[in-house]
Amino acid sequence: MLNAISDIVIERLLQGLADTLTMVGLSAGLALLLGLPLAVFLVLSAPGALLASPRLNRLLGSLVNGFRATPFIILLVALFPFTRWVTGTTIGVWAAVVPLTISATPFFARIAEVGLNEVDKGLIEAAQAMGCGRWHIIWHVLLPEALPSIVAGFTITVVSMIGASAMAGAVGAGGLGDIAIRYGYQRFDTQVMVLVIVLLIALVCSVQFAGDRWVRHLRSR
Amino acid sequence: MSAVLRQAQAHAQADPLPAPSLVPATEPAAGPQAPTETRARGSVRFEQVSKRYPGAASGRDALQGIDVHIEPGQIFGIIGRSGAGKSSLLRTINRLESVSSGRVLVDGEDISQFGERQLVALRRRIGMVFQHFNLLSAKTVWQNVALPLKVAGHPATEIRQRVDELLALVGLSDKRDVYPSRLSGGQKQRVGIARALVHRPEILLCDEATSALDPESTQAILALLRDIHRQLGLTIVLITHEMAVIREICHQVLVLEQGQPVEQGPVWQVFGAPRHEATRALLAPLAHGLPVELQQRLHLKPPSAAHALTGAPPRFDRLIELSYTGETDLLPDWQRLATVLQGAPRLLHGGIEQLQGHAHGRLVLAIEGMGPGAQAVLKHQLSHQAKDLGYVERHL
Repeated sequence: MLNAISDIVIERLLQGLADTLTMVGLSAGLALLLGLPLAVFLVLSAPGALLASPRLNRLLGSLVNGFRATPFIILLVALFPFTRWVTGTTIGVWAAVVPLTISATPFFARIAEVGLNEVDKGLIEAAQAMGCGRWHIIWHVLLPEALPSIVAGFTITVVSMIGASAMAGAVGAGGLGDIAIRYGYQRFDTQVMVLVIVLLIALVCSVQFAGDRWVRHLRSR
Repeated sequence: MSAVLRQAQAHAQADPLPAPSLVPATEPAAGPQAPTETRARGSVRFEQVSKRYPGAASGRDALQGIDVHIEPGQIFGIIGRSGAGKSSLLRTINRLESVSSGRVLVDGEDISQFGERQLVALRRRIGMVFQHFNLLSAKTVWQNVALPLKVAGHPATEIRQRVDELLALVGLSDKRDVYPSRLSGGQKQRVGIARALVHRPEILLCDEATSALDPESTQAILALLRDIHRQLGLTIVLITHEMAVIREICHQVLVLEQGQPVEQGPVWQVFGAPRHEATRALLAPLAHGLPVELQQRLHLKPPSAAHALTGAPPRFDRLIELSYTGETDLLPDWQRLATVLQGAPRLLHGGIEQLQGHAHGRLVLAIEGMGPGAQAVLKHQLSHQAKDLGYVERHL
């Protein structure tokens, strides 16, 4: 079986893996950079919190919910004008990164929000009592204390992004999912299909494993 | 008996409570508006303080008409049942809670007027210790204690020196690199205390600091607080629902009931003669009831004739309770008691302890053949509070 895999297939799979990693890596990084501040703001602007502004909180909350309710494949197409405005194109890896990021950011923000909300209010009170300003509280209390939950949430986000990236073939961004559809499904090449699935499982498992290990290390303190 | 009491008295004299006028060893605050007063720092004054939570269903104020002055260098206890408003009142001192009306003055300054920066400066002058410690789990003991200095922007060398100094003070130098989850409750509270002291505060607020601890750790933490007070001379304001804590270390006590102050004064006075029902209820666990055995034999009325029918008439003693409330300097004088009571009174039960140098407690005496008017004589002669409990059959 292994002997039967041609060099061309291997090359194609490696290219697909590289495309998937690029897309997911880039958009995961962006989702982290955008989602974490969003989560912090959602927590702090909640009624009764440090920067309470209920109206803005509700507005942002609805926006987040709206993006989360839209299926990724529809978001991908609906965002074409925006994508073109940002990247100048609607095909290729970059065209996939924009909708992937926009879909993952609210997802991650909600998960991180839960983690941040679980930080004991007594700790925030203690920080205030010792003369910490808002930034100090965010930096020294909220984020470090919620870090295990944030890491766990980010792991889930990345895993679901690997799934979503399979649809990126629709904009010609390539990736493992694209290969599975075009070669495995449309050309009835079962061997490619199986290999892609094995690669995806291995990828998801290693992401999950690394995330879990990190969380365990953080929680062991 | 009297030897024991004399010894207790001698002990009390040899170990007097720290004078409440110690000069705080604090440095001038770094705040932009350091108070200009030159007298001892660390005073708190509540002026007609009221607090109402928005949307409170009960329609009653959480705090109402609090008018209290806390002198610099005092250990001031606030006690009350849960929901009495202790926690809210304590938190108005560093403005974790704002007041609805009235003023809170710290060192003579109305803190409700403070802007953001002044508030931060104020909070650095006031340390706070919490019931559930509130240590950061992601930081080591050392980092936890260092954090207040770090956010205040102190240089690293100074931070290192100060943190090491404080860890030594609370006896945790060997735990400096341990995470809080590895510590016992008592050790966590020591870290909390070290953290609260790191800015050399003039006031230390303790929010039920011992309520989550076992009795042994409670004693150790109270001893540490007493020690710190003696060494640093700061003002300590503590809230608790445990009377034993107040008795252990406080000079002054304020009793809150449903947001209102119902009683205030030196601990010996409030404990000796509680005037309000809430105070008595809080004191109940400390009051020693009559031993069960004695209670069972107690008759409220004089022995009836019915007993006489059964044969030899039983002999009854009168049971008298003498209370020592600290109001007078009087210590139980056994000889004098014997003289007044004409005959040898037997001591059945009792205990006297020293509270801030005042005798406090009670004795239950059995007296043979005392007439009904004797109680008045007793009261007059001994200026004790004497109470007639009833009669007990005498064991032959």
